[in-house]
This record gives sequence, structure tokens and C-alpha cells, in this order.
Amino acid sequence: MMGQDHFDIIVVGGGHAGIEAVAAADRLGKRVALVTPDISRIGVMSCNPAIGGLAKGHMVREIDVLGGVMGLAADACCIQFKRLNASKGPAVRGTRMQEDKDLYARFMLNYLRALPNVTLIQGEVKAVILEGTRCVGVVLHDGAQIRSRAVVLTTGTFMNAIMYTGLKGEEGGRAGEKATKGLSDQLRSLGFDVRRLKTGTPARLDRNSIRWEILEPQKGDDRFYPFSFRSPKQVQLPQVLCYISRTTPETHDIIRKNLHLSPMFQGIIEGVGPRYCPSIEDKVTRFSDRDSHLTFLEPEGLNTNSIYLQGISTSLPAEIQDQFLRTIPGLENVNVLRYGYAVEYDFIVPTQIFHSLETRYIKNLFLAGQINGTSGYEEAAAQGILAGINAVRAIENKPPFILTRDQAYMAVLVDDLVTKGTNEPYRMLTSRAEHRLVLREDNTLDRLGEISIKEGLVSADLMELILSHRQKRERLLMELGTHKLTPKQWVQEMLVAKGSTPLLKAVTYEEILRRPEISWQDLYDLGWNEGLYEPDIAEAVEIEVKYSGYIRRQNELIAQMKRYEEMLLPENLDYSLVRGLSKEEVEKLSTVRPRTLAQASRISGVNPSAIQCLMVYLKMLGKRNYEGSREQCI
Amino acid sequence: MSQITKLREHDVICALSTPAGVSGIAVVRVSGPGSWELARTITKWGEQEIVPRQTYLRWFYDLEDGEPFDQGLIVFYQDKSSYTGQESVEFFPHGSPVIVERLLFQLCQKGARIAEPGEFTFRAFLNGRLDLVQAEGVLHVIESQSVEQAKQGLRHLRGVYSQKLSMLEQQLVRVLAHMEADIDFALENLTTASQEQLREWMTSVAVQLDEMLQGAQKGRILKEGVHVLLMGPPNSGNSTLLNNILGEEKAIVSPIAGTTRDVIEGSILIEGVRFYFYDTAGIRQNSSDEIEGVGIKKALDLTRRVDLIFLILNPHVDIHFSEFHFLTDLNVPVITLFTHRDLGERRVSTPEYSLSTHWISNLKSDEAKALVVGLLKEQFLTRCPRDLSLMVHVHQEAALQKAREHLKVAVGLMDQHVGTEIISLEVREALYCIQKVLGKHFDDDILDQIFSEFCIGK
Repeated sequence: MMGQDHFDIIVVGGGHAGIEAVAAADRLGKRVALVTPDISRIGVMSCNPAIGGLAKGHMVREIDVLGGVMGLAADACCIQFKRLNASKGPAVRGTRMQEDKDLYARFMLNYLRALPNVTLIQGEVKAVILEGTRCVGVVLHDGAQIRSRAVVLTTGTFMNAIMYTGLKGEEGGRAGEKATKGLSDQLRSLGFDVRRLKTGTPARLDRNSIRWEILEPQKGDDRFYPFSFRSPKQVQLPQVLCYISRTTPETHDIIRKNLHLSPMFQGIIEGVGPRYCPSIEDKVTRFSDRDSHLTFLEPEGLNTNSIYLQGISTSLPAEIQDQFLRTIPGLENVNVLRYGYAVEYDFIVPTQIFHSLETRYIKNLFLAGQINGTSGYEEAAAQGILAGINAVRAIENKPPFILTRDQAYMAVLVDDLVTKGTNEPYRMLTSRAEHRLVLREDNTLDRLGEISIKEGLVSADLMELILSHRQKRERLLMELGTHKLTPKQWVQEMLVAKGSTPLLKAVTYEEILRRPEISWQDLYDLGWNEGLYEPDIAEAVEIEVKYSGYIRRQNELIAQMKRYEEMLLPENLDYSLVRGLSKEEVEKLSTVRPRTLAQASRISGVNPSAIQCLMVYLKMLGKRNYEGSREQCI
Repeated sequence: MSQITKLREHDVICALSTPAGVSGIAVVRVSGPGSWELARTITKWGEQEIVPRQTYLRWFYDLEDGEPFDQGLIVFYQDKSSYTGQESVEFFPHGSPVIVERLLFQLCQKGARIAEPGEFTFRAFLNGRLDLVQAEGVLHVIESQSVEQAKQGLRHLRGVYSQKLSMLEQQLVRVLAHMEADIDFALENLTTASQEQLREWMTSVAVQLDEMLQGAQKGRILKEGVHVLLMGPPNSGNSTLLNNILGEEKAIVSPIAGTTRDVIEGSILIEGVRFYFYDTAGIRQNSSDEIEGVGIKKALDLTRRVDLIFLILNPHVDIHFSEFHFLTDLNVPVITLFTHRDLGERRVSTPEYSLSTHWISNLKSDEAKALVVGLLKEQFLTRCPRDLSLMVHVHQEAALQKAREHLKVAVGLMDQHVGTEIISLEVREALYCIQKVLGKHFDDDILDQIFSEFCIGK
């Protein structure tokens, strides 16, 4: 590389975080370099073949409204669509799309190549270049230097990574790819707390060796809702089926007998794995009373024979994998294309970064994705886009772009990471969001659209769409509130047939829709014929009507919390002076240095009594200052 | 207590920890960094090494004239082992107000200050020696006016109450865990608890809360005593019974109907619980006496504020049951006592507002008193199992009630097939309410209220 090359921002890593960081910086008009060991591997989905899911789907939409790429790619390459929790409350419905992995990666590469301000550089980054405590570029493995004004590290699982299939580990961050050496050692030497995490992936099977005829197929949904407001409303690829099978007692026997060959169980891997995504070894030992576990056979694309075996991630030796896989119905003669493996890698304890994702110790150095201890494509992409935006803001000397927990799942993610840190690969869950009823897929545009326009992340034309949606919703709400349903014979019968109760008097359709047992679709059976509305508009309105009372209450709770959000903790507060805090609490508070009392309360290991002590201490500080000034007056 | 002084926790504070007045021995407690040095000065200690938690007999000196004014025991505590979690000293002077005042004066001369109400306990809380529930228990022990009440406070202090609540907290956390798992892991095909199971769990917590709230009612009774009203038509013998129960002539007794005009009050202890009795003007509709009329009105007011009413009737004179019909609408238990059993038990039907009826021959007899005491015991002391009779403060009671309401709403929503994410909101609020009582959910209001309620010394 040319030493004199000068970029505004360098993004290290071409995964889901890196892509969004690069694209965001490009949208904001900055010259960006993406440095990655293998350009052809940009946008690869290393593990499961799906984008979205509960809370994850929410984040994909948030990324999309901020002008991100993930939603566009997922929509374009979708080969099975599902709306999760469709039978549950609308606030917790999530979109999940299975992807053609090859097409998805190709989409990403083409997308980046088409961006005007982006340079793709093939190379392995060994170190970052520092000037004082400021990061000004990176050094490649051949010693070449690339200079920039800010750097975003999105190295995924690659830092000092070791892969295991059986007891013997080999260096590598992903099947067939080398680990990144040097970078995390440098960060450690700079004072960063660097630790190990572990994750795993199941075997990939040859489509032609599976007895599909005995397996139960699973179809996607017929109705498609794209992630992106910019995507066509229809699927663009043929849709595929997935299949279900189950492990058997024989499977479990084989696994149990060979646990001594599992690096996890031999203590060779010290990194902590994700509790919500346990290996089959874990499942068999921890839930020993169950003699069967579900597994899903998911095609990895339209033009590949590779089948992903969801739910059976393992790091047992290849021959043991062969043995136990063949005890699963349908897999009696299976050929494995790639064996499952575990990967152990370095991550930076995320309490060492700010909400902007900039590190506390090195200016203009940003971290995003698995390097911060998260798991999942969507979690990575969400951090990537925020890191990209904040890197731009840093070099423009603007205050950071920080969303709040009641605005976006992305904000919950970042706040959790920088406040609580994490002991396992962090996955987003709806239950992590205390403002869950407000953070929905259907209102993403409403939540973030205007912010995104203001930030220059999407064209101002989006405002028209936001306004038109808003108008349509308001009109529909008004119509529901004016048109009445009268207690005629057939109406009463229809209501009863739908498991509801007859009317006592004429009521508006809004009131009818408020009944939990009545859905928007039911209104048509009850004589509603006030024009046709797009499904997403109708859904948004239905939620508004049904949940307004609860949303109001949640808003009140949010307002209460805001009080603590507004109680700022002095930046230089010496926590060892606060009486009543345990040593551990002093340590945690001193590391995290929470901005507000509310953030302090979210730090794990900091007890509520500590918050009360802090509150008392803050009051005392206030009084002292007051007393001090009064004494001076006298 | 003012916020400002409360927070100067590096001051040395001192206070009389035993009740004011004359006693054999009093306890004066001193806490804060420098307490030991202060005690050394006042006792002219010398070079001897201090062993914590050991009692020493020493003279207490007036430093003005250098003369000792009392001799007593003294104990030193290190910060780890003291009540407040700070360096502390306890003096045990003789319990004369003059001596105690002199000791406190000497301490203040040497830099201590008199503690604000609750300040010792506040420090104990700040230093992690007590949790909120325990801190409140201290208050109960101090304020207790009867043995049973003090026991309640102690039980509270030992964390029985916290344990019970923590158990409920755990149960709700489990409910929520299942609900959230069902939402967040929709794809994983988890076997989470069924709706029926969740419903059962929530109902069980609600029932336990109900029991605790009943216990709370009992706790309040123990703290505030039981209030019992004696009433009847004029000349029915209320005053005679009152005097019998109290064992003294509180009320003037005469054969003239309407002798008792004002409310007469007195109290006794039964098994450590204080019972207050009120004797009122006999109730009659057509009293022409204006003063008597005021008395009757007072009696009627009282019916709304007492815990139990004894209605005393002589079945051998004409009974105007209708005059007492208003009792039906009250939420107070009524027990009817028929007098003059010796004249024969006439067949009189139990009035519908009465819990039970009993016959008495002579209102002055020990038998009559024993009957009344027995009825009171049955009503207030035996029905409630002891371990449920947990002290609950008013704001705690409100929080538990709220928790129960949220759970009831949650169960109701479940029956209406409302989405789990909404139901979980209710359960979460119920959980918050319980955590609030446990001091686990931060809210500065609780702190302020608790510590303003504390009395001096502890």
C-alpha cells in the first residue's frame, strides 16, 4: 500500500459491522478505506443462513431507516420469509428471512464497489498507528502504513482466533480463513482489558445425501414485508422449504460417550459461549432428562447443495460428528460438506468504550461488532452503522450521535454493552428493552426517520413517505373513530362467532378493534368497508388502538425513569468517597463511569442500595456547595 | 431530621439509647471516627490497650473540674462489628437524667454532637449493616408499646419478612422468565410453562400476598392496639362491664338510664397486645337530653373507627333491634352479649349484623370478664397464625396491595387472551412493587420516609 494514501476513515474488517460503517461514512461524504484480508469474503454469513428474528429484525429495520445496507441485501436475497410471533402481540412480532448466502455476499460486494468514496484494500491489519492517544491509521502485515483521521475496528471473531473440531485447535477465524494476529496484543499492551469468548457452528450437509421424503417440511409465510422501505414489496427469489428432524437417544449416547473429546468439556476452550445458543454437547448434558432435541435443516442458498443444521452446533471430532449425525432420522447416510467447529477469539471488554463506540483510552478509535463481545449479524451491523456515523462526527469535531433506550433497540444494545459489559456473546432480546411496546417494527420510520434525515443519512425525500404514512394512519384512525357498528342481529351473531360478546349499543369500530379478541381482519367481516389500506398501515393503527392505554402507561414509566436519566454523575466523581458502596461497586462504577444515575443503576453488580447511596451523596454534594457558598456570603 | 445533618456521617454523634427518665442503668451510644479517642478522654484512659467488645468499669470525668461524676461500664466497637458500621463506644452510666445529661454534655464539649432521630440506623444502612426492611424493623422495636409488638419488630429485623418477600420475588421472576422466553425464543420451540401453569403461579403469589396483607392487618393491630366499643341501649350495663374488664371504677354506674354521656376509655394488655375499650352513651332514638344526644352521636362516630363492637342487650326488657340496624352497613364485627341469663334464656334470635351471641348472668362477675377476654383472644390473637403476623408498614402495605392488584389484572388479561408482552408488563410492575419493599428498586421516596420516622438512639 502507498504510505501517503490518506483517508478520512479506515474500517478494518468486511463483515456486517464493517460494511455498515463504510457505507455510513460514505453516505456522509467521507473518503473511506475498507481493509480486509480477503475482499472476496466481504459480507459472508459465517453461521446461520438467516437475517432478522426477534429484536434482531427490529434492528435491521432501524439500520435501514438510518440508510444502512443490511435490509436491502436481505430483502433482495430472501429465500424464505417468516413473521415470528404472528400469533402473539404485535409489539413482539419479528421478521426473519432466510438468505441465499452467496447472493447476499455478492450483493454486499457490489454495493460497496458502487459507492463513490470507498476504496477496498486487501490486507491484514497488524496494528493501529497512534499519535499520542489519537489513532491515525493502521499498519498492514507487510509493514505498509495507511493513514486516516479515524479507525473503526470490526474484526469479528478473528483476533487471535483458534478453531476446534475435536481437541486439536488450529489458528483461524472462520473455516478456511486465517486468524488476525497482533492487533489484540497491541490493544492489550495499550491497557485494554482483552478477554476470550467462544462461539460455534454446526455441520453443513450435502443436500443429495439426505432422505428428505421422511422429513417434515416447513413453509415460509405467504405475505412478505420487506425490511427496507426502499425495497420492492414482493420477494425477488424463488422460496424454499426447510425441514425438521430430531435427535434420538442414540445421538445423545454417542455424544455423552465422547464428551472427553470435546474441547469445551476438556477445559481447553476457556472462552464463554452463548447460553442461548448452546452446543449439542451442552444441550445433552444440561438437559439430560430430554431424549430428543429439535433440529432444522435449512438450505444455504438456491444454487448450493449446502444444508445448515440449525440447533446442532458442535466441536466434537469429525468422526464423532459423522457417527452421531447418522442417528438423526433422515441423515442415515449423510455426507458432511464441512464439520461443525467452535471458535475461540479475543474481544475487548466493552465497558471500555463510550456510547459513541469510541474507545475510552484512544481517541478516534472505534470498535464495532463481535470485537465488543456481541453475537449475531444484526448486532454487528447496528454497531457498525453507529461507529461509522460517530467516526465521521469525531473527525468533524461534532458531539457524538447517541440514541436513547426509548428510541431504538440499537441504543439498548450499545447502552447495555458500555454499561454492563458482557460475560457471554451478547444477543439482543426484546426483553432487554424496557420500552418494548414502543420499539416496534411497524413504527421504525416514525421513530428514527426524522433523525436520520437530519443526520444526512437518508435523502430528505423520505420525509414525504413518513408524512404520507402518518397521514394515512391518522385518516384511518379518524374513520375508525367515526363509523359505528349497530347491534343488528347478524352483527351480534358474528361477534359471538368470533368469540366476542354482543353489543349493548352502537359503538365505533375503534372500540370494537380495542377488544383483544377482534383483529383488523375481523373488521371486514363486521361490515368495515372504508377503503383499502396497506397492511403495514392497518397494522400500525391496530396496534395504536389496541395498545394505546398500555403504551401511555409505559410512556409514564419512561418519564419516571427520565428523572434518573437527568441526574448526571460528575465525570471526576471519586466513588471511593461515597459511603456505603462495596469495593466491587466502587470498582465497577470507576470502570464504567456512568453518565447518569439511571445508567449507574443498570450496571450489573451495582445494587439498588448503592444507587440510593449515590443519590444521597449527590444531594450532599449539592448541599455542601450550597452551604459553602452561604458561608462565604457571611 | 434535616437532610443536611443526616448526611454529615463523619461527625461523632451521641445519644441516650434507653428511654429518658430514671432507670437503673442507661445506655449512651457514641458513633463516628474519633469515638474511641473521645471516650479515652472522658474516662482518663491512659496507655492501656483497648480490646474491642470487652467491658471495662471506668470513672466518667467532668473535664471542667477534673472530678468524676459517675462510674459505669464502657464497651468499644471497631467499625466492622458495631451497629452503625463505624467506630463506636457505648457508655452504661447510672440511669439518672442528671448524670446522663452531664455525660452527653461532656461528649459534646469534646466535639460530638447529639444524633438526629434515626441517625444511628441511617448510618447502619449506609454502611451496609442493615437492609431497608431490617432498618424499618428497628423502628418497630423502638416504637413498640407491648411485648408482642417488640417481638414483631425483632422478627422483622431478623429478615423473616424479607425472606418471605424474596420468595415471592423469585416466583414472579420465574413467571416473567417463562413469559419472556416464550416471546424471545419463538423459533427455538422451547417448552415454556403453559398459560394454565402461569396462571396458577400468578394466582399463588396473589394468594400469598393476600395472606401477608392479612398478616399486615394483624401487624397493625399489634402496633396500634385493638379498639373495642361497648354499646347498647341506655342502662344495659356497658359501664358495669367496662369497670369489670379494667378492674377499676372508670365509669359511673347508676340505675338511671343515660348516666354515661361522654366516651369513657381504658385499656388492658392481653397476651402482650393492648386492647382499648370505649364505653359510650346508651343508644336511643328519642333522647330529649341535648348532652346525651351529643354522647350518642360520639358513640355512632366511634362505631366506624373501632375493630370490634360488643352490643350489650337485656333480653328481658323490650329490645329495639331496629335501633341498631345501622350496624349491618358497618364493616366492623359485632358480638352480641345478652345479659341476665340467671333470669332464664329467652328465645331471642341472633340479630343479622351480629357475628355471634353469648349469654352472661352477671356483668360484674369474673366469668363475664373471662368471656370477653376469651372472645377477644379468639378474634384477634389466635385466628392469625403467628408467623404470618408480620409487621408491615403503611407504605409497604400499599405496595403489596398494588402488587396484588397488578397480578389480578394480569390474570384477567390472560383470560381475555391479551398478548404476553402486555401481561408481562403487569407482572413486571407487581415485581417492582415487591422489590420496592425489599429495597431493591431505587426510589428516594422510601428512604426519606423511613428515616424521618425514626426516633432517637436507634
